[in-house]
Amino acid sequence: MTPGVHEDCGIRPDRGAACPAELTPALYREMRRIAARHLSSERPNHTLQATALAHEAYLKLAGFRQAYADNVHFLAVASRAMRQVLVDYARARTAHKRLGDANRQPLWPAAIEMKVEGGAELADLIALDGALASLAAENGVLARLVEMRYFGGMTAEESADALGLSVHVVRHDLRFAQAWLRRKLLS
Amino acid sequence: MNARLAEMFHRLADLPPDARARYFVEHEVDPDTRREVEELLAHDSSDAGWFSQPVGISARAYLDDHVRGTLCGPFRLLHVIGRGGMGVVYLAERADGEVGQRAAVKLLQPGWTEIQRERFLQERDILAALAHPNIARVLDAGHLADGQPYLAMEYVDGQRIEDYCHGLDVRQTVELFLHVCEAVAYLHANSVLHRDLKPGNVLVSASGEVKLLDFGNARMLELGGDPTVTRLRILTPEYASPEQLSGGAVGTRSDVYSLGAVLHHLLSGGSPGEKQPSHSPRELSGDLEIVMQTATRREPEDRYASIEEFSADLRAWLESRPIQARRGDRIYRARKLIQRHGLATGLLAAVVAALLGAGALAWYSSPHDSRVHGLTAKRVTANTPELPIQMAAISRDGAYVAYSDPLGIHLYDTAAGVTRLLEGTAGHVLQRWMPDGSALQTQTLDDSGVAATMIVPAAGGRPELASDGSGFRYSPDRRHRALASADGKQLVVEDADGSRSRELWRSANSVVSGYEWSPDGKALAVVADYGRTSSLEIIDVAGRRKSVLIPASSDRYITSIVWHTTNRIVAAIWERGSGINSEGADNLWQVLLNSRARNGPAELRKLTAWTDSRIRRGSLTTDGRRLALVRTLRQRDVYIAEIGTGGHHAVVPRRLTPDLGDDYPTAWTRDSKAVILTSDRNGSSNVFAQEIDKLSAKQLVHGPGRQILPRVAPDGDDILFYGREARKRGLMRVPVSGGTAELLFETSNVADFRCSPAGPCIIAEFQRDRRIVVSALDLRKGKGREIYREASGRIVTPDISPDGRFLATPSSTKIVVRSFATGSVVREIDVRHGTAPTRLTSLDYSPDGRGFYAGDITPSEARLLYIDLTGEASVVYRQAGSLPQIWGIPSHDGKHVAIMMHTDDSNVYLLDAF
Repeated sequence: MTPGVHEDCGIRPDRGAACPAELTPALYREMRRIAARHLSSERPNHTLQATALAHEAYLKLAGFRQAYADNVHFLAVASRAMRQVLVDYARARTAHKRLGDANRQPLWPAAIEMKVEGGAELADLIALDGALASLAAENGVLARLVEMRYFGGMTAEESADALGLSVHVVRHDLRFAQAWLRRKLLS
Repeated sequence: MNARLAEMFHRLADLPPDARARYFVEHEVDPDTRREVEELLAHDSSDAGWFSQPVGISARAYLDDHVRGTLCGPFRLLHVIGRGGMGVVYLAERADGEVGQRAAVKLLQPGWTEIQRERFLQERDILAALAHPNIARVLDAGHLADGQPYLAMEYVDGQRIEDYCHGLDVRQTVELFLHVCEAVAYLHANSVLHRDLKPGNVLVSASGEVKLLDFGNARMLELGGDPTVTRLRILTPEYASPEQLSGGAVGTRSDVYSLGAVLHHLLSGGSPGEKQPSHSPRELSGDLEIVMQTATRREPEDRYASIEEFSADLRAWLESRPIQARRGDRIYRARKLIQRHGLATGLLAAVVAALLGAGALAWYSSPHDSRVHGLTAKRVTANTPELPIQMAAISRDGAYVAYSDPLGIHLYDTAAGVTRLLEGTAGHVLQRWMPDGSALQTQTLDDSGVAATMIVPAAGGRPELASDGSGFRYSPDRRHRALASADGKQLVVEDADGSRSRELWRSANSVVSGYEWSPDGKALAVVADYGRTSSLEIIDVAGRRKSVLIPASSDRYITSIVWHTTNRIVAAIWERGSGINSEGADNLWQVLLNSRARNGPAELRKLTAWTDSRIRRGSLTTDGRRLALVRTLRQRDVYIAEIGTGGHHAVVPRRLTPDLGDDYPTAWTRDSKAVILTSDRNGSSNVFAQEIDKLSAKQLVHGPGRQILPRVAPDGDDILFYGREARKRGLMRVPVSGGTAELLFETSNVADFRCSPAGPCIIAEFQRDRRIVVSALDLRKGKGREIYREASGRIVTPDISPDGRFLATPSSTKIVVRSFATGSVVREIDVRHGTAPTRLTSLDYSPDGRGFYAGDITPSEARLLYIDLTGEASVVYRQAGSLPQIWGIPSHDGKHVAIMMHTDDSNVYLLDAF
């Protein structure tokens, strides 16, 4: 079990820390919705592919046999799972295709030059994950906010609900967290 | 984390800099905290794409990888083989039957919209009605459980037609091309326009059959609605017809244009009017050239009326019969001549007669500049990298293009084609023309680095310090003027007399990096710069309506804009490159403001397809007909440096290859008099020998394609290289004195190969998993025994020692030396230098075998090091700036080193008849 996800059981102190029940079909549908949000925030759409992503994340979640107090709580946990799925994937992909240095040889025959689609973004994602871990070490709530927003596609209202904060505070904290991460990643 | 940090950040985030400074003082914030808060504020941005982009793209890549196994009717998806504007194509295999039939299955991209779904269904309907041997066949179609349609098509296991044609002569290429014409003629007979004909959409199967693919942009001729505009797809500018690019009415003659452009590309390796032909000019001259010219004329009515007419002339050429186009061609040329010179119509007959009489008159030479959007990007300056052009601006009446370089301000007379330098302007950097066209606004730096704005009379005369009003930009109707605040966070508009000043635009987290008045003076286009991204907004002068035409996104950056006509803005936009190695490039785009007037999002269309260029910020200007810009191209050049005996001290190298192509040195002749290099100066990579005391190089190997990695054979008499003969790839040999190249043996996957003067050679090859296997190489028999393989990680190929006994490979900060005989590591040399080298990227043994020359990259500079066998390193040459690569090849006499370096040349380009 990943410690990070386990901690999520206590995400809302007012609802208790116990996590006994299982993921319901309704929440599974919610998972698909998140996956779709990822693919295009402006164009939410249920697709075959979004289902595949949701399914993977669902399997990770189901392994924990936790209960989710409500949809918002579920979303919060799901954003962590989503982060894991995508970062694991990006790591595996970039491990295969670590050609940055190799590609610096401009004399290589065209036939064996390889283009890695989204290669830069996969690397960016791993870097973001690392920066998020640093942020979490300083302030867990800030890191969770970023995770919820970008990996879970949660709105400020949903994050506020999940963490028991005001929407105003969430907006401010998210802005600060982003500046913090940008500084971390750019310096 | 200090909780005060966050609190201070929130308090100060929306305050102007002076208020922030005041806060720090008033609250006695200690310097460390203050610095940290200021750093964080500097990284404040509202650009959510910065974070959501990597997540979204990774999710898409993940999903593409994980649809494997999904059933689409009788087919099971295997993996992605292609991706188009809105669809993804997977290789699939039949899941239900005994036959192992394969198919290409097309699905919509994740996150598809209803409109895309409709278009997809339209494509499916069009394709389902077609049956032609040269058009990929529909095997199955249906819907998945979630309502997403799929289309299973015949999978063509073949080559792109341009690759297939490399081994063919002109005749064979034209014969093959006629099959493409047949397929398109069949489409037209069935009232279908393809609208996206390009080499990438034509495959040739293993059996030599042509197959036309990708009907994602096809349209029925009779369909109502809007037959012209293509909003959902980015066209390929080289092959799209001018009317397609400008959004005009598109008919069958548009497909004729694209086919003509495809044929031109197949025969010459470029798009019309671009690059050198790979076949000799003799083969392409005469009738065939006229046929291609006729097919790709700018005006649809000047082209062949149908594919059949086009094909008929191609057949006539094959059979050496007279072509139809010749007649029309003379009349066409006569008309052009009259248009250009404004001759009275009465002279038409005389001119036509003259032309008809001049049978031997050569077709006027096609411009060898890069033609885009049916336009010619003409280079009007020829500045070397040492003298870069900073800025160019076209005067309002179009008579002059002003530009500045370190020598000063120059005026280029567009009619006469001559340039003059304005006296006393050394050190001036051009800003813009003054509104009345009589003077130029420039900027100079004084000794303390403070910028001064100067006014330079265009007619010549002493530059004067500008008066206060010079920062304003007046609207074309002269009713208003606009000014950006010094910190760029605010844009103010006032009436032309300075009254009624009001704030039009303000931003806390971005700055104005450019703004332009609309031609009617009613609105301003503003580029807001968020650091790594930027957005394009339009605000009407009353300040009531604001719309975002191009939102900020982390994979593009708007460099410069010009408001061309009321409904059209031309922007230079940087886009993220697709490969790891690609730094991205700037291209010209047009932003069409449709009738719903300035209410975004706008329609974007790419006008150019430049892959390695930068356009300077603020350099786009126009007089309405012409566009001037400063374009910077990164090129690789060979420099020569002397190396003193004993020491390997830094020396000033001189440039050996002053041409405008990329040059890569790889070896020296044994007498140390010439550098062997590959150069793309003819549009293909060829092998040259450049004597170090001469200006021009001798081309050793001719022909199309890539001839790379030239090395000197052990006997010193031959050059060995990796190239292609007919359709075979392999190691080839050509005498150092020049002559015919011959194929030694066929091989692919070559990463590198090297020979020692003592005899032994090695070859490094890629494995499927991208690992490298290094083997002994026998020049007569080919690859011999395997010496070692690189387990994983970084891949840099080894050099062989002059005595042939050792192989050395750079590995980050050390050099690994192996035995040639056994492949075992005999020593690891830790490289020592004052500041440790960050990363070795190349390695070459010095001729005496006592050391190495190694390229080394740090974040701030590229260096060439000499490293002796104990690991002691000294810098031979360094070049500042973040460069992707540097390397150095020592001459055999130990006196020189040939260095490959990157240089940027900036020049002014003019786009005519814009």
